[in-house]
Amino acid sequence: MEHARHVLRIGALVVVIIAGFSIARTFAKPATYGDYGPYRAAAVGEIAARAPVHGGVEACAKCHADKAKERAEGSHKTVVCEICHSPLASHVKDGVKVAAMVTEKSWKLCARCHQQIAGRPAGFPQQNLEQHVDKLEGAVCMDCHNPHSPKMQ
Amino acid sequence: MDSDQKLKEILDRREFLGQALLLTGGAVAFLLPHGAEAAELDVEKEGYDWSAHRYAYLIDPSLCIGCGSCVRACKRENNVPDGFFRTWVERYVVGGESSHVDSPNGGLDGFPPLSVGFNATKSFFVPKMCNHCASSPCMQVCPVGASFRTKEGMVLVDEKRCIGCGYCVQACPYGSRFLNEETKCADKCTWCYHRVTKGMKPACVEVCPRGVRQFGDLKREDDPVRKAIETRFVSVLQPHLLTEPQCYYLNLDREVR
Repeated sequence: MEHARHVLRIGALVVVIIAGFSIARTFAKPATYGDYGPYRAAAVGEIAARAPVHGGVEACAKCHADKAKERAEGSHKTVVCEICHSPLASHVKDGVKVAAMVTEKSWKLCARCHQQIAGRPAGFPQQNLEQHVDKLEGAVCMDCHNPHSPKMQ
Repeated sequence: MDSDQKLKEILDRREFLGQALLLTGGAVAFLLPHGAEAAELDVEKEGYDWSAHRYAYLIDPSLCIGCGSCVRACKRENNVPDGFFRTWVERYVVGGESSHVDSPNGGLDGFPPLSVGFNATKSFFVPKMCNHCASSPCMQVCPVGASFRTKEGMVLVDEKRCIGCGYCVQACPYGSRFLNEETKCADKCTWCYHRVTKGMKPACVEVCPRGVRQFGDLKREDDPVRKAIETRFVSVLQPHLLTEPQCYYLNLDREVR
């Protein structure tokens, strides 16, 4: 019986350790951890639940159909509204206008695409701006070009 | 008498060893996964089946004009802090004897005119971002299970689990991750998971005026990205690292790493 008691003691210790680990694990482990792999499955839904900021051309066209049509028929048809204007979320929330649309109007906006620099593919319309205007400082391309439907030259 | 006692002792020992084994076995069985049904995901509740998609990204550098619209859209869409980028654009100016790569502020405000001290024979832009590797080193080094891969193939960061240790930032061979000062977490491109699960395109794809960036679903047979990967000359960045990137580049120059 002496030996039996040794085994019992060790056995009891093992049971206590395992039970302790098991209880600690229940509290330490996030609810959905391990449902699909070694990560918290609820995080997938949390990341997916964030609200989109850019709405796309269709969203803009709901109120600005005329501008959307003009754009879609011109050479800027692949340039979506939110490239030059701000994202939809800064202008409209739940279908209601919350702030004016901020639009950069300096030549720098146009230069991002059309200034002649190394790297741009040949054939893409580019301008050597120093030669194109008398004075670059304060120049506004939109004074001569309609941004929604610029003429190809 | 002696032998009787010995026999009893043996029996007792066997009995107790057996019982000890049973206890241990029982405890192990108790700890094993109970085969409980995995809870339904929040994304699935809104009619989105995350196992029905397998996303891939296609980039055609030859079309890129370096306008940086994608970089700006990404920053606004995902509230990326200044000086850090989830996607950025690099400019390569290559000559016979030398080459030059620049990416001023990630290409956020476009690119300025550039003069290099050698005879440049070709120049082009290359958009870069997280490759959402199928065998990603960043996921493997995460000590708390904060970096994971969804069934559709997005490598995401759980900001509630992340402890901001930065192991993943160092592990990524593409420099696609950074530590976000505000959240104190690792931050990276999600392929706009919050948009894609709502049927929209990632913000960078949405705004690209030249169709450089395309987003597709490999599980759809008529998908243009899947078709391009199957029929055209595509490569991935640093294939020798065997990370199985899911961003495919069309006709990539050898200068691009």
